[in-house]
Amino acid sequence: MEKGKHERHHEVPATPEEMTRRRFLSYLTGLLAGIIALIAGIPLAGFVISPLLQKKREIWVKLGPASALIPGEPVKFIYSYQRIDGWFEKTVHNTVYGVESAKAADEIVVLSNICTHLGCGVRWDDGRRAFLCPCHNGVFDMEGKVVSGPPPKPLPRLRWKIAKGQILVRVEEV
Amino acid sequence: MIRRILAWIDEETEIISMIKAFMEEPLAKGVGWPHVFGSAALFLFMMQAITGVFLMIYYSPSPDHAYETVQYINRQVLFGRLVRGLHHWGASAMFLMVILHMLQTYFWGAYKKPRQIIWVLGVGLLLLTLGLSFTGYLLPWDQKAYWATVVGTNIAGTVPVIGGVIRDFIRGGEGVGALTLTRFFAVHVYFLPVLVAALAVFHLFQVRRKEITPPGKRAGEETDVEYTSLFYPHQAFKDAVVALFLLAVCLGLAWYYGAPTEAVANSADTAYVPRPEWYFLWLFELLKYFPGKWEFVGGVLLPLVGVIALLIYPYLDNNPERRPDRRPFATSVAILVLLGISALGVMAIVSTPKPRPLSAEEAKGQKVFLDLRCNACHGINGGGGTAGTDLAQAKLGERDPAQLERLLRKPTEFNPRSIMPALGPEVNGADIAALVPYLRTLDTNSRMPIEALVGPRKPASHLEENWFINHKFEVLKDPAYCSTCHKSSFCQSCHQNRRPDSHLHDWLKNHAGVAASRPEYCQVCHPAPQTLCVNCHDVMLHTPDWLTRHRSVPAEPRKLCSQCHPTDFCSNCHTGAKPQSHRDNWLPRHGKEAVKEGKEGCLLCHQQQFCADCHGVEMPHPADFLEQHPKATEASLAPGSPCFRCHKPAEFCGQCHEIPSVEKK
Repeated sequence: MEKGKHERHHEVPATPEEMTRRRFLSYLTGLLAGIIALIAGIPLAGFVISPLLQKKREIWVKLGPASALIPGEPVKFIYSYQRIDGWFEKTVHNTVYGVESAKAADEIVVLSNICTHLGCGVRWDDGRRAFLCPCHNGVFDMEGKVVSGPPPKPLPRLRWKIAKGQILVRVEEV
Repeated sequence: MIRRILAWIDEETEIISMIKAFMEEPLAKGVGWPHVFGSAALFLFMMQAITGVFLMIYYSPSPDHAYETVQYINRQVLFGRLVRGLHHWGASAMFLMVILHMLQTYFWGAYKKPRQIIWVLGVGLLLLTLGLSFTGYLLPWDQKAYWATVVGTNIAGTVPVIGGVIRDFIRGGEGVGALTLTRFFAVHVYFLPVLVAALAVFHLFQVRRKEITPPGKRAGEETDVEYTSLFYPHQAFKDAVVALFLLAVCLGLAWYYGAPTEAVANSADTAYVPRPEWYFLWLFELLKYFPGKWEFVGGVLLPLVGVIALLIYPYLDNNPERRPDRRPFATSVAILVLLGISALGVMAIVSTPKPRPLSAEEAKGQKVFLDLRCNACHGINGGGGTAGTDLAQAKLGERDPAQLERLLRKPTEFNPRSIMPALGPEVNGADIAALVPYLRTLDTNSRMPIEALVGPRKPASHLEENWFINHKFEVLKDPAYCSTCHKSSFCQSCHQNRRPDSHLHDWLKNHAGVAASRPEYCQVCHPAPQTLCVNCHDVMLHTPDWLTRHRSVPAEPRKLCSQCHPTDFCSNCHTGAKPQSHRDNWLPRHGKEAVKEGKEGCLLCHQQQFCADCHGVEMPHPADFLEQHPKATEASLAPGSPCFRCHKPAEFCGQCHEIPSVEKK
């Protein structure tokens, strides 16, 4: 069978005109395949990157009473808000530290507890008077500046305001 | 550059030469456009595989989320409707191509010796395609999904003796539920596609080995075959044209129709008419003719016999002729079977009851119905909420439109205990004018329209059948939980006409105890309970110092006492005619006490006149008494005048006046 097939293969006429026709058909087939890939590929590509195109929403989230702040001492706040996560809605909990300056009562910084190195959650160590990252020994001071370790940037600061005695922070939601 | 890389790859692996050798298959004269269906089916299978994998990026196979994720794909994901539409229409197109491929093979006699096994593998691929379709349409978890699976698995259950076991095996338990969904998902996205791919490769390999049948040649006489073209590029070009055409058709259908989605799976919906996908319709119709215990003959035995016949047919057919006109029996049998199946399919379509189409106004009313969230309480034939009457049973068509409108505007006029929120002025007349005719169309054939997904989804607890009855207990257990979604005013949307049952009997008498021990209970509905209390109580709030304060309550709010307390309540403490304070030598002390505590206390029991009865003047003396007292006392300066009951004339008057002047008088 195998042998016979090879013989027959040579029986397909291959005149110069036929070879030109074959080349033309190959190009045409390639073109059609390209069109198919394109008109199927564009929707599929959009389908996959769709979450990146969702608009971001910024909301003010209540943190807690301003009276909870202690001058010269970071205070941990856990806030929560309803977040639309793809096809369902859930309550997200996040931690931030509110630091009121020891000198002036209005000087407040609200620090995210997310380490700028690789995103672990930093925590305040009262003994060392610093924020310590549990992952790669990043150390930040009370204002969020890097003291030692690998973090490239100070801890992110959140925009805040005080309304009716409550601290509100600006949260960016995807 | 690319050529050099390809040349290097080929030198290392020979893969490109192998593909080239495979693709440059010589084709016999007469092979052409009729032979595109196999490639078309393969192309569509690849399209299904790719769109399927992409859909899995957003899909979640659980009854809680499946429908929601499908809706998310339809509405939120860029091109989501299109990709899902492609997958939906691609499935039908793939089945169609598989059938056309089979018919072409049959009428060309291509299944005959030596290619019987290719046909057998093809029948296997047909069954896998049907399996993919059956498992695939459960996944969106809508009504069609649910009912098709219930019916389909029940057909398997009609097999004598072992039917129940087979059915439960397919379902993963007794009912169609979460376990059915996950196993169908696994089968649909992994087992069957892998099997199809493997079988298709084998099928193709056999075709390449044994060559495409030279058209018209008798079986066993394929000697002097004339080869005029190559698979690549001659046939591949035709395949590409067909593939592009099919993709365009599927894209067009997906663009205009998307993938039809019905309401979420609901086993309570009594008006739903379950119908399978079009290619199963003939089987569905066939089942109508097999009553009772013979059900399995139509549902299982006949299809099984059909499949076995298809599998062994190439080995039974010894006629070497390939041309259809030279084997009239085989040709006419095939045409008869085709006609029979088509007739059954058409009968199934004709016999499907069609809901009366809504007029433009009624359709608008339907939208108003959804916008007002009437469906939250009212079901239509089981779809929708269960708190209110099922509107399909309410015979609204027999009601007078004007009466219906009044009912919507003021439900309490018809039933004082109605909890239905009245439609206020915020709902304009035009909307009501559309809503009323829509409501009047509702009967036992009506169906709840697909709900618009607005706002967050209800938690699972709210979908339980007895939620409406239970909600008051749940509120009591954890009011804070309700308030994570609902504002306190939410309760008022029903409770404005209806207090909770606790508030009905002797509530006013008991409410203080509840308010004191469970203030959060009040807070569930009353946003600021303190102000609510003050509204009634104001000065009457029974604070801890109430006992000492209660006598000083003014006359107007004092009327409220009788709301809780019986009329003889005071005498519980105030035994006899006098309060306890009036004991123990009260009379000499009463003046000082009255000055100290204020006169209001006295006025609780005594009239304004009471003091004057003894004193003869207003007591205690008003502020301007000093200026007026000469006039007031002139007549009464005589010994025995009321003044001297308290004041000793010589000492008291002498504090201001010279005493002789008094004596002169």
